[in-house]
Amino acid sequence: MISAAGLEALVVPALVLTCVAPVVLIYLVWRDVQEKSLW
Amino acid sequence: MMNADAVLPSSYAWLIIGLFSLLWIWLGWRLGRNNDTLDDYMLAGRKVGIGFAVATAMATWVTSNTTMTAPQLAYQLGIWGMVGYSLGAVGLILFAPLARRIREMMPEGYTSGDFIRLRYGNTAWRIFLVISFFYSLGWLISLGMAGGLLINALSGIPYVYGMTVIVVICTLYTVFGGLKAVIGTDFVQTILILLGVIALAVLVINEVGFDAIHAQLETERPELLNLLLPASIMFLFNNLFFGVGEIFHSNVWWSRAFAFAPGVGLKAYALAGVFWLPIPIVAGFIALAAPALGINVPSPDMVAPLVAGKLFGLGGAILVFVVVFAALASSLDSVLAATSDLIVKDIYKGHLRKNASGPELRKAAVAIILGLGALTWVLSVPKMATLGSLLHFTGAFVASTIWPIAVGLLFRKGNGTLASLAMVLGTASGLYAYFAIGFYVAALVSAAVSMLVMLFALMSKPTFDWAELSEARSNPDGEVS
Repeated sequence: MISAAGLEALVVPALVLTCVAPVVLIYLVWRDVQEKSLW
Repeated sequence: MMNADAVLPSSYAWLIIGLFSLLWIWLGWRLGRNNDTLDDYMLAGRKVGIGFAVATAMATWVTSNTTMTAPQLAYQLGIWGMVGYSLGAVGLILFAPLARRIREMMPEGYTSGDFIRLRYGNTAWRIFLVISFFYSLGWLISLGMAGGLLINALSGIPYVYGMTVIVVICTLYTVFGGLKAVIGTDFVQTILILLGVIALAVLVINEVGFDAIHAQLETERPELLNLLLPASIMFLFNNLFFGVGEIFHSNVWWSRAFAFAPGVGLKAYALAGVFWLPIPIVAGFIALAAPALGINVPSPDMVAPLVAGKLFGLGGAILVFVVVFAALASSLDSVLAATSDLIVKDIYKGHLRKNASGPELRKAAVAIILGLGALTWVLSVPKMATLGSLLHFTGAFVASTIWPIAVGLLFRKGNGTLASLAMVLGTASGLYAYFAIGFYVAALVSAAVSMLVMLFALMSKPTFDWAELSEARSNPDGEVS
């Protein structure tokens, strides 16, 4: 049986990683756009 | 059929659909207007940068299943349901080194079919094409039907209208812009999905909190917190092999390996896997808040929208609708584009018109995307449950391709006879397990039998010459005179 603390330990790191993703993606795409890598 | 339980007024839903449809079509036209060659249209010019590459791999793998089924599984199978679903990321991560190798070994290849034909010969190629088309068709129908069902459940818009809108919009912008349109819209769709999921999860934590969620689950649904559920653990491993089989064989992922700029494939697929991994856990967690909110859940697949609607009213309902619409579109456009590539190169040019020129193939690609869109629509209209579960059924088929592809890419050992046997025997035994035991072992059994056959290949002498793979040349087909 997973405890409340266990549930938190599973979800919070997952949420932090999910928050990092859009920041990294927008930065990388901004760099791509400078190099015209899609058109 | 109107839906009394809808969480979003249909007028708002039509407004959202209209605005985003215009945005996707404008982006498709804008990105596609400089497409000159077949390579531009089918493979985005083979120079996609790392940011767009990560976003397109993530968005395509985030289907409506990720945002809707992960919460459903969390509600039905508990913690293992959502953790098991998140292991779908393993397929992306394992494909990363293969993507680099594909780009290096076949710098001018087009499809996964090209590889199987050059590596294993015509018989294995044709068996592979049957498996791949069956899977693509299953995925297309599942997305078309999910579009109609989810839009109806969320907003009350009739099934046929919702399904038609999503299929027509995705077909249109894919025709306008080819893979560039698919990848450009994927980036916007990824950001929308991530922001929507983050907003909902943060609000659930702030409004309800871990202790309240846990206490209520312990009272009402203690089995969801159980970490020793054998069926859930079996589901976890089967899901893992199903996901690896999907990614290793499907041209959706191979076409991206060819399209990413040199040196991008390994990093892009690995990073996409890492960023995709937490999404089902966060989406599943939102569903676990249902008992603490006192929500009466009529069917498990509506649990996420109900939580959002209950906690945040109209704003929450709009958020869920945008996330689902983006998740559906980002996958449907990719399957349309990659399946049409396979038909253009492996059926039209491979079997029917072997001397077809670049411009002729470009015209054929447009007609084939339109045809696939129409086929998806026709097969989704009757809303047959058996067709909807076709994708589930393909687990036995796709898992049989994992080992022939991995061995074929990494070793000079193994020939077409063994690869064909591995795919046929793997699929047959997987199907037997599907009917004799249950859906949750089909992919496992198929992968295991196929692996046993390919072990014979690993014990044989290396006979394949890597130079034969570089036959996949684009010139003169890629040139437009």
